[in-house]
Amino acid sequence: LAVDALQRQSRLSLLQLAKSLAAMERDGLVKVSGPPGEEVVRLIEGD
Amino acid sequence: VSAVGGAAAAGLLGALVAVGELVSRYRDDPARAILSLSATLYVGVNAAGAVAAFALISTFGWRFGASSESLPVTQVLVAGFGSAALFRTSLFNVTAGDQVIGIGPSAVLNVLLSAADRAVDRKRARIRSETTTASMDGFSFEMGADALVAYCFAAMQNASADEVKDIEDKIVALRAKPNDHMPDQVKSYGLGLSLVTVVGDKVLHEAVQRLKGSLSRMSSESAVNEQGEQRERGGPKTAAREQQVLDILRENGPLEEKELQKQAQLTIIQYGDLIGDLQRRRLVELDKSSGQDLVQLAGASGEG
Repeated sequence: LAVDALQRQSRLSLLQLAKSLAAMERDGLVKVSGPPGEEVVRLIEGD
Repeated sequence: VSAVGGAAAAGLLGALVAVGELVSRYRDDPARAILSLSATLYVGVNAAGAVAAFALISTFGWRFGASSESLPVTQVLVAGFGSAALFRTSLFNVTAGDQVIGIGPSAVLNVLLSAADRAVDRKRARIRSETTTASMDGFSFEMGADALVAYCFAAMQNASADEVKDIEDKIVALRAKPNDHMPDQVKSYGLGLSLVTVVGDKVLHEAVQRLKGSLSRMSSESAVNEQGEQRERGGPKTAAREQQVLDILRENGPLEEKELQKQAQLTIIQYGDLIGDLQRRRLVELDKSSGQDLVQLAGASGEG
């Protein structure tokens, strides 16, 4: 899912979303990739 | 018991009931709530109601099932404690629209009592607002709310679980998203006004003064740690990015978050780390008042 779409759906500010994504990435739940401003978030599937 | 003695006793009981009501309603400083003109009026109206009730009871010879020996005392007690119930009796009903309104002495008594009570409330509100804002001035809600509540309730010996829960709910509500735009200091005042009802203004003032020192030391230690962490984390590269963001904001003024992210060429994770860090260090702030999420240099909103 694109970060833009995720932000619209979650109604979070970009800063709040960024902090949440950073925490989720640290916990190995999601992977954020792509060039600045056009990032995509992918769920990392568990074992 | 003579008629005058009975009336005086009933009036005194009525006054005591009114004082009791005011003490239970204005718990933060009952003494100051009672010692005001409006409170005197409230107590006076209640006492006059009790005297009038005693006069009615004596005139019509109501006995309330009491024997001859206990009759005077019963009449005084009913007049003193039960004047409100006695006057609640409606003499006749008036239909207004689809509502039936009872008209009787209670309507007049209630209007007088609620007007006096409202006047006491307004006076207390002004005093509470003055003392609480003076106590909470310069106290950070975000940094110190939990510590302040813990400290105040640790100092109190008889605070109930409901009172603690009410305050905790208040903190949760102030931290909720709809209040994001509310300045930290205003949240701090709101918390102070809730706390002062339970702990009183002196305990609140004392607690804030004691915590301010600790919080300020904690804040400087955390700033030093953050700088250390930042040096380890990003070093000169992060410092350059920070400078770039600050320069962009200086040149453009408040910028929509997405626009700032694009101009600074930051990934969303870098953006979160960097802006979050700058926000913690109070170099930038997020302004949501216009409906957009704008990032601006700290203090920029107060310049215009």
